[in-house]
Amino acid sequence: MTALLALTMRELKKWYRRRIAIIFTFITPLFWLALFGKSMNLYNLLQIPSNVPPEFIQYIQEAIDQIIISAFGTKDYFTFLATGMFSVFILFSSMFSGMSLIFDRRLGYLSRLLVSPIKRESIFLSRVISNIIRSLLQFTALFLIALALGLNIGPQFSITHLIALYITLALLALAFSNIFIILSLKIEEHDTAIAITNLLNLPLMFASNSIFPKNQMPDWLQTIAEINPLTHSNIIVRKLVIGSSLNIPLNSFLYLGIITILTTILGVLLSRKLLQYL
Amino acid sequence: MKIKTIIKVDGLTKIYNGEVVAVDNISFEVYEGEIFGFLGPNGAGKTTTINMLNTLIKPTKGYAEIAGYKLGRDNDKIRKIIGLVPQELTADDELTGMENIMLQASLYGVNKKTAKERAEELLGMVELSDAAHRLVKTYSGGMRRRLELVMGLIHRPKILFLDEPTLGLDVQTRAKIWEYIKMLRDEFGVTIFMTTHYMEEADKLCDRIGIIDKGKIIALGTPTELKNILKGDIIVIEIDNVDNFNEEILTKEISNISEIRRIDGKISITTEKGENTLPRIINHLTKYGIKVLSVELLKPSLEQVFLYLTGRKIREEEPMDSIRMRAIMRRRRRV
Repeated sequence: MTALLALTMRELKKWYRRRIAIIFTFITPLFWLALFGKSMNLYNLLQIPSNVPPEFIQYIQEAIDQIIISAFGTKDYFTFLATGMFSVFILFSSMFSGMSLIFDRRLGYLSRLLVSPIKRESIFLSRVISNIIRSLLQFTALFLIALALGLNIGPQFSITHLIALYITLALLALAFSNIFIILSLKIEEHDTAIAITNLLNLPLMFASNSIFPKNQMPDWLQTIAEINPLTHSNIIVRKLVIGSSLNIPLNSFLYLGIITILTTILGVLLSRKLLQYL
Repeated sequence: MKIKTIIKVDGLTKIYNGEVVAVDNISFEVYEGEIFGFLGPNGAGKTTTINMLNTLIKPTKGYAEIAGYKLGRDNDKIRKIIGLVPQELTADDELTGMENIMLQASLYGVNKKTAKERAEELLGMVELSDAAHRLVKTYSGGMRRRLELVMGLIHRPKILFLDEPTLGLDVQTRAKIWEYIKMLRDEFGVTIFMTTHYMEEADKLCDRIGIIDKGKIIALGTPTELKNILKGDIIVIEIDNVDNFNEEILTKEISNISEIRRIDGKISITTEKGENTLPRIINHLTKYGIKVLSVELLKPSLEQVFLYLTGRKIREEEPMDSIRMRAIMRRRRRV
């Protein structure tokens, strides 16, 4: 337990000391929020032409509102995107959570850990826990940025909602870091890990409801989106932040929970097996 | 003092990929409280052996017992009582020296207060106290080596494995490290198992040495015992025509020659008091009309022992075998 704590602190200390790198981790999210989120304003795209007789304008406007709200849960695309991006950023930061293990292997620090009597899973879990903490701190910063950029929070939003939001994203971070650290258990070169990461990040993002609603997708893509943890995290986050009734998030909570538990068990078992010898 | 065995190795073997034999059926014992050294060229199997004994690499075959614990079965127990100072500098260079030490201590369940006390003592011993709170990336190579030593000792291991502890260090730093290693043994009674390819290091530091080459132990004993294999000084003479040379006449005329061998067109003569015998040999050869091209007088040293046993110098370029082996190991790990 002391070892797990000490190893987690090591990860966080090293992260904290790379201040410049931390600043850079915010640039991509900022691009998405400020550039993509703000320019893709779907609601403004659906302007009613000026030659429409004035007596219809109200009805057309209502129809447009209903279409947009039923698709996005909000009239404001920025809010839709931002609430989707919170989970995507958790994915982005978790994707690199296995990297420290790969570098430890390369630089020989892993030998130091393997030759010591610590429980093998603490090598694994220290990266998972530190990644959850890192991801949530980053989320906090992004949440504030999104608010500044005009995130529309539902009127019902309370401290309970905020806590639930953190729990949801913590679960997502746990699931994703489990998966990416498991992939890194036996990888020797960081190029391999980067290649895997690059292969997975965009498809995972697009095959979910992060940028566009799921029900606009072809059937096969919907099926993929259904099993993508991002989709479920987005459903919960949007329900909490926007408060629209897009879906009942209990199933999504359960799904995230089950994925989290399963990947944690798998990670612990695999690290016990694969981290015995160098 | 009664000699007690602390490491017992029997038929230990490591074969990579089912084809490259890195360590070939070696057996030896290490006694409690001694400095035991593995001496051999790069790729001889030294690090593989050390890493099998410290539980990092799984042996292909063979048996080893460390402080009464069986390797493979009792790895968890072995890990508690050993320390490793690896060949590469592996302290985390984004942390300070002290942070590294305290982290290391927590891996072994040493409580903070004890760890702090020990760290200060050890840092003082290796003269690193002033740098303790600096990031390791600002350390010199010698400082990092000394930090590695401290980290290897923070949990007071019974056995300390040192893999090439002075690799790449300058002569002065190397001598300092030797001092520390001796002090460890004398003050804490730590048994030290080390590898090196520096002859002088093995000679000055080790109580007993195993000479290892191509995965096999080819000689084992105290430095003096090993040097006695040579039976004296070696004179290497190069002459214009080896066919004209006659061993029998030479031994008949010059009394204290114990062995004559022909190696690569040169003549290697083992004798006592080489400096006295050498002029007599040259006179003898000149008398028989043999032209001497070059002469070399070699005093007994571990370097000579290795040359004598293998026909090669230890500092020679890495043989192709070891390069190939590393390439295969790398590929294997990737899988």
